[in-house]
Amino acid sequence: MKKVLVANRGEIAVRIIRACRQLGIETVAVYSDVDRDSLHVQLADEAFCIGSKDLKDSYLNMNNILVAVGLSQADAVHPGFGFLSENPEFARLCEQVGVKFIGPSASVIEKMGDKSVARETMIAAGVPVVPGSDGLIESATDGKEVAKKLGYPVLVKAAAGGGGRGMRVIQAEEEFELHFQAAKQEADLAFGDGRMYFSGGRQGSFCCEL
Amino acid sequence: MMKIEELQKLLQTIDSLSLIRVEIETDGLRLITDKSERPALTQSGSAPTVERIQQSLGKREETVEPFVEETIEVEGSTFTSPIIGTYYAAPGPDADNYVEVGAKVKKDQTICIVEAMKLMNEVTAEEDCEILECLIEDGQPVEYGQPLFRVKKV
Amino acid sequence: MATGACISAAAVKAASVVNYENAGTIEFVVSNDFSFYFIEMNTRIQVEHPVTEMVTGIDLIQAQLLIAQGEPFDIEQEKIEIQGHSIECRLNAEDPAHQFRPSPGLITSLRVPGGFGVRMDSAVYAGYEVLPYYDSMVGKLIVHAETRELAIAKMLQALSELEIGGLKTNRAFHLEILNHPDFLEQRIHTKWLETDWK
Repeated sequence: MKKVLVANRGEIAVRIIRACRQLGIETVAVYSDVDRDSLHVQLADEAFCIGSKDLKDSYLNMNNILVAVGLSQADAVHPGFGFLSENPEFARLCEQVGVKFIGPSASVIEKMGDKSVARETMIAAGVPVVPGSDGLIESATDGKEVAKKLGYPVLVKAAAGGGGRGMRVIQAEEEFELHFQAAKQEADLAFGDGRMYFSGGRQGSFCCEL
Repeated sequence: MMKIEELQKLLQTIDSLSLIRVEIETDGLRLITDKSERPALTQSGSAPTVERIQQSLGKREETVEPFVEETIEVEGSTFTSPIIGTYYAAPGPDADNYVEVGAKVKKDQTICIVEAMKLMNEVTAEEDCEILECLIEDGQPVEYGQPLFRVKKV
Repeated sequence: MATGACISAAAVKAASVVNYENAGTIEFVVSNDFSFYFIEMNTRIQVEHPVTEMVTGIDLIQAQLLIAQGEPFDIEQEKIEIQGHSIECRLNAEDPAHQFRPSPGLITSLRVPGGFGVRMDSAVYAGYEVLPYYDSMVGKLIVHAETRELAIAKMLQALSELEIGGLKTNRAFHLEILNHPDFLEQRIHTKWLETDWK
């Protein structure tokens, strides 16, 4: 690996560029036109403006990022977190154009990144999972039915989600429609995927990330 | 107080001038821009050396140039690339260029190609205009928003 | 086995059943009777990865690069030791007076804390403008110390040194939490901010 393209912005892009440089790997930054003065652009060996400030035109645009990969002849892509980091299609496209995606394979991202499939996988492996719906919430009406069975408050989350985006705690049935749609829209905007599922939020619990 | 847009425009203007350091003070706003060389972090694989840092620190201590109103008249406006890709002046290696300097083009006329992911994207003129200058060479990578031509509306 | 060790074992199991390669995060919730449940897996580097780096001494981003490069991975699970305690505070450009709504703007000055076991991961500098189009996170402040108490003390010091001029941030909110008796005596849970705060 001689050259890594960092498909992200902000603090994590800087963190990755630093790590690459310390290992003697060259770095390529990509940025939207409003990010010209960003630190990641300043610190990378090369930088390519890939689109406008709109996420779908720049940091979420797989096509434009892969063009920058081609122009810079980078041999690997680090997706950071957020944006395309958990997008199996992007990982697959990277594999197809012969550039290393720094992360798990597209099929594993698909399996674990889809939160409802991940739950099923963990149940099969005997890992205890939070009580919740065993699949996707197809509509707000279906969701309300399941929420009634689970008991409020319920936690709805984006199947493609992460980092708190597309996630809402719903306290009562009257609020369900409003919060569900808001979370769904947020997920759609942030990940281009508005599929939702339930994740049980228990009163008085700790969150533990390993 | 100055609006953000106004400030951005001012900064862009200052940036386009070849001034090292500019200080402006106007109704409640104090603005200092400094283009004196910083340690070159972007040089491939080379950490900033003590010499380079000292060198750039030395440059910072140079006397401050007074701000002089300077207007550079450049004819026409720039036509920028709508996408990232590779710039091609002609449809094929043996074909004629879409446009040459001095050509007058109609709105929606193809003026060049930007290739992205093996797709040849025809870039068209936004209005009737004359090509004053081509700012990029055939086969070179272009970024989003990078100036391709200097044009004059006709 | 202690709950922490059980959770670690479940995490390793979860990663191996899917033949996981490269960095990932497995999230669990622990209920007040110390039983624990899988929530989700993030198939990427985590925002909080510096905490893991500080307590294990492993540079996770470099590890990701080395794994991707196909280099022999010489970190053995059994040899990973957790040392001390680490805390990370996410610094967001947001307005505490208005429900923490995003508050972008120009950073006019910046004073960054430092010292042994204090780390600031950020992409901002004095003169940088935090843009309204993206995430409001401007940086992460991370501390590492021998015990939780010492880590809290270190974070309090670091946060009080930190100054991001011209921007409204959640800095003071972090200070309030760190000084709160519930936080100090570990009486916190996932609904704590909603139900027991203030």
